[in-house]
Amino acid sequence: MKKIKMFALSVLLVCTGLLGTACKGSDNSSKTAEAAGTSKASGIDKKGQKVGLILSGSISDKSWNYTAYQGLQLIEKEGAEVFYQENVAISDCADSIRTYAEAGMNLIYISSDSYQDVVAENASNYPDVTFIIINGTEQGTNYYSVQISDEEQGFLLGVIAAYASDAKKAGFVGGMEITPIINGNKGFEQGVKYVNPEIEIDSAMTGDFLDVTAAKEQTVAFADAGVDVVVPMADDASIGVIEGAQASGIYSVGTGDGQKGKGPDTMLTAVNKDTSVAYLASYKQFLDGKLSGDSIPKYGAKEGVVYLGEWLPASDQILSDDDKEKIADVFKKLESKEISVSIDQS
Amino acid sequence: MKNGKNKTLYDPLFSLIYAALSVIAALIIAGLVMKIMGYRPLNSYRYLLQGSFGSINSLCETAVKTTPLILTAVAFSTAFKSGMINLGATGQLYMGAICTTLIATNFDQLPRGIHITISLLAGIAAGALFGYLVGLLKSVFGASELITTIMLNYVAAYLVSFLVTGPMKDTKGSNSNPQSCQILESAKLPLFVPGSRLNIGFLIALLVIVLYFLFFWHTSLGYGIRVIGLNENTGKYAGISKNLNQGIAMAISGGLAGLAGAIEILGVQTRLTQAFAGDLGFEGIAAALLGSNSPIGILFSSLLFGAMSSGAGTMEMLAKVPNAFISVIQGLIILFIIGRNLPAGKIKEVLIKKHVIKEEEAIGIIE
Repeated sequence: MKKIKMFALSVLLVCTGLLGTACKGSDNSSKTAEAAGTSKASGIDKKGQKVGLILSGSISDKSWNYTAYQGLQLIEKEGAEVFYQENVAISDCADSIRTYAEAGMNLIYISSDSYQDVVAENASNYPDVTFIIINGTEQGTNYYSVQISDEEQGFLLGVIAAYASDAKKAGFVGGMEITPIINGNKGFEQGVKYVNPEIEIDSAMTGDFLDVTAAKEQTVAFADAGVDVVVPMADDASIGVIEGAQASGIYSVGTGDGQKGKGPDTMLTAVNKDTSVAYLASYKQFLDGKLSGDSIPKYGAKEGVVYLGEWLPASDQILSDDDKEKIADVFKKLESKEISVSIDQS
Repeated sequence: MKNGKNKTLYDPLFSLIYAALSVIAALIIAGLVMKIMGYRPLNSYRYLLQGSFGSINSLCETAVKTTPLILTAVAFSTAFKSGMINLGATGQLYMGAICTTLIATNFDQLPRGIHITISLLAGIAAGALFGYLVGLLKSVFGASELITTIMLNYVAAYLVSFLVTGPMKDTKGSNSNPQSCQILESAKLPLFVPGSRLNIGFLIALLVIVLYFLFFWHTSLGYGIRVIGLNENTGKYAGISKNLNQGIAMAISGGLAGLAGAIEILGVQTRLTQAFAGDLGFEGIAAALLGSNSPIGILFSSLLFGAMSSGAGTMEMLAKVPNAFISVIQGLIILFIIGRNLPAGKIKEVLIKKHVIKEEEAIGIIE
């Protein structure tokens, strides 16, 4: 009996506690609503903009999220106040959007198209806020998409891999099977075939952007199967591919200059993808009121998002100066849009 | 372990005070770490509170995060009462989520109430079977449940990965994410507060706590399970089957974890995705430990962990403090809870042992 009483008492306590804070909370939220209202009245001011960024991974991944964070820092230099949240689960995205909107953000960047459905569903609740989805495919009254040319990065990776492969077998290790990685893979295949249609391509997705070990094991398995050049596209886990290539003595092409320490003897170079360029460019468009829902801009080699890193010592073992020149030439053709990479084929 | 050799340790009031002190100490230490790293702890905690209790929406979000924690915590406690350590809530949750999704994405002819009920039951059944498997492995092969539950977690997680990238993948969606189709409208749990995500799952979780209390303290089956958990031999002597009761406890435990997965799918996620549960299973264990396996304790500790995880986002987003600090706080709390026997019981024990050894040495010297 005593226990039941105690139980009832504590349930009551919780309820009153919840109610009390609920009342306090409601006037709190009206305050933030007011704040949002006043900021809207002042129009688009170059200073004092509040920009939020919702990230799918951590800013230390030396890759997708890292360059997104660098983009945010560039925006901060433009005079905006910036906020970010890392490792946001898709199911938590709506809550994050709400928190940012209620805190008076003017612009919210969504780092991945994984959240696209959530944004499309919630954006209309916050008409004062503008949303930009990186790699999105949809546009609405207050949300826009900006695409990164993952396929151009993949293409360039494929071209280098094709020149570096003696065994005529190139490997691609992806993270999760999501649009940017799938596009990167498509680009890779086209890049390899562009150089030599006879080269065999092995592709695998580990299903995880964080699992370095899985990426490494996959790479070693590729090496055992006769692959002699491998490329990663797996954010944090990419270093596992570089490590695996180093351990089994096959060549690798990185996706960020920061990865070279993991493959001192076997990493040839990196094809960088600096998304910060796209962040800054779209922020400036936002300030100028030039974001349009007509077409989705795509940032690639031409815009400086995708670029070739420096040649590392290992590259001299396998690539002649002639090869390197040809690779540089392909990059120029990508820059000038002479080569266009298709993502339609499946 | 729980043989009551030190009564004050298991006194409910002592438990409550100890738990509260653990939480406060953890907050203070984490605050100091924040200070050292150049953040403003009080400001961060203000946002943490605001994010968990500051508005109707955040309150709802706290309740949403609390729901699966209550269920996985009760799941752990149920197995624990029978002497089984179920570390497999994550796996059982995934199995539940898979079966729930299968039902909830099909059968569009069913009326809403029935569709929801069947979906929930499918989740419970799948989790229960997966939990019972552990009991079976132990009773037939003597396999330690500590090992099998953890290994089965991987089996379930990889099964989810396989399903959402292959057979169950949504091919009509706007993106190519590895995820199942969205569940049908008729299977979505009704919402309490429109615009929030608070659904009747929270009520179900509260009901489960009440049932947990009634089951273990007011039914003979629950009593039998407790006896087995406290002392196997006493149980055997009284004619209570160890294998049967541990099997039942594991099935209930798995069923509850499966229910957590079902509610997550039907009320929050609306589709099956890879690794959607994160650390829910293990946070549930933490909540059960903090609440010392008692119904009220579990309610409070789940609320605490739920509030922390719902506030963590706001803290990170607006106070710009990495939400890893929430893990630091949770880790510290767990450390304190594990160290709970030290202050009163263990220290005394250690002292007594030393004393005895000294005496023995002394006797040895004399001889």
